[in-house]
Amino acid sequence: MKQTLPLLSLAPLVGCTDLLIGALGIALAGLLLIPLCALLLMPLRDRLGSNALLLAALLIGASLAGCIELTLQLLSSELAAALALFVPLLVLPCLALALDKQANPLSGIRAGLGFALTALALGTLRETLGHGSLLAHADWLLGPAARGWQWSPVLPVLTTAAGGFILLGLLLALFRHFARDDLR
Amino acid sequence: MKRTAPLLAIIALLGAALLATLQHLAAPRIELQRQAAAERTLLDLLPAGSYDNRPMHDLIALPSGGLLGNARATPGYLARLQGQPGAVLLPVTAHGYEGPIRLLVAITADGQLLASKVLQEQETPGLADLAAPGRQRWLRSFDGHTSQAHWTLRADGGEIDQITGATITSRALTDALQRALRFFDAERDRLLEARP
Repeated sequence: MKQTLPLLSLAPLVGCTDLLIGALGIALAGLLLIPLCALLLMPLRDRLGSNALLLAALLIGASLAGCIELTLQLLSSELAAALALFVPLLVLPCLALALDKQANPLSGIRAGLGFALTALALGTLRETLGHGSLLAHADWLLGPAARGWQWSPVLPVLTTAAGGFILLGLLLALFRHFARDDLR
Repeated sequence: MKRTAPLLAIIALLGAALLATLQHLAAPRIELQRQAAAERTLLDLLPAGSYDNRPMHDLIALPSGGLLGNARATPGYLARLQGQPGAVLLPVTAHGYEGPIRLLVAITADGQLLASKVLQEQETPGLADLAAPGRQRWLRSFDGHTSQAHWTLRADGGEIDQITGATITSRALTDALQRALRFFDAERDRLLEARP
């Protein structure tokens, strides 16, 4: 259970990282939301039982996700539409933080960084290999002058959710492999 | 643990208040962003720099039914460059296999098809869904045609390839594009009439 929930919180990434700009958006959202949630949960940890803490994490996560969604809509309507399904799912890492007994703001920052880096890695690989472009639709976030690069796609399967899932699995396997080497 | 319920209620209230305030403050600008995005989506038919007005505010009243075949009276849009009409955007409805297909068609002032795109459709997914890149390329292959061009599909003895396995959809789309061009030819003066 302790291992699966943080992994599950990567699930939204499969849906929204087929373009780097979407990955960038969700990475920033996660980087902001997860440590903030950890920080807000800190003072509540002594005052609430574990079930009530879960509920509190849900409430805090949902409020923060709502704020982030509004901010996204302020910045770019297109990006907000592309991420609309996935920003509310950022509540999952907040729940994982609430379940983790030893969680502190530092582990929140680590979780946020891990989330953001995974998102960026997935976004870069899926867009370069799957779409054959880099930073397409960059104008969503960076203004109309921003133009991406185009070439021919190598592995179009990566643009689909299934391809994203496979790539996420491969990245995790790679990560585990090196993490185990470090342990030895 | 007696304080659990009040504490949770306070958290919920604070969250709701934060969201409500933010929503209230941001709503006007969000609405502007949404409108700008909607304009960008519709206007990507026109090459950048080919117009300098705001076509979404330069409406052309169009009747429902008739050559365009729209169920409701939907306005068209006029794009101008330095005050001169450059292109019109006309909504057209095609009678697809599964139901109506709504298209937006850009036509230059001299009656050439500039570009066209599907706004709404319900064709069979996988067979004729028009959002697929191949279908979009097919639709783009008509750019530059006029109402006098050859519009007959290969299936009907003509020279234009239809979408494989979706002849009815292809026929409906070419027919709709043709109708839009004929409508433009017939009403050219009214559509391009210079208004400030």
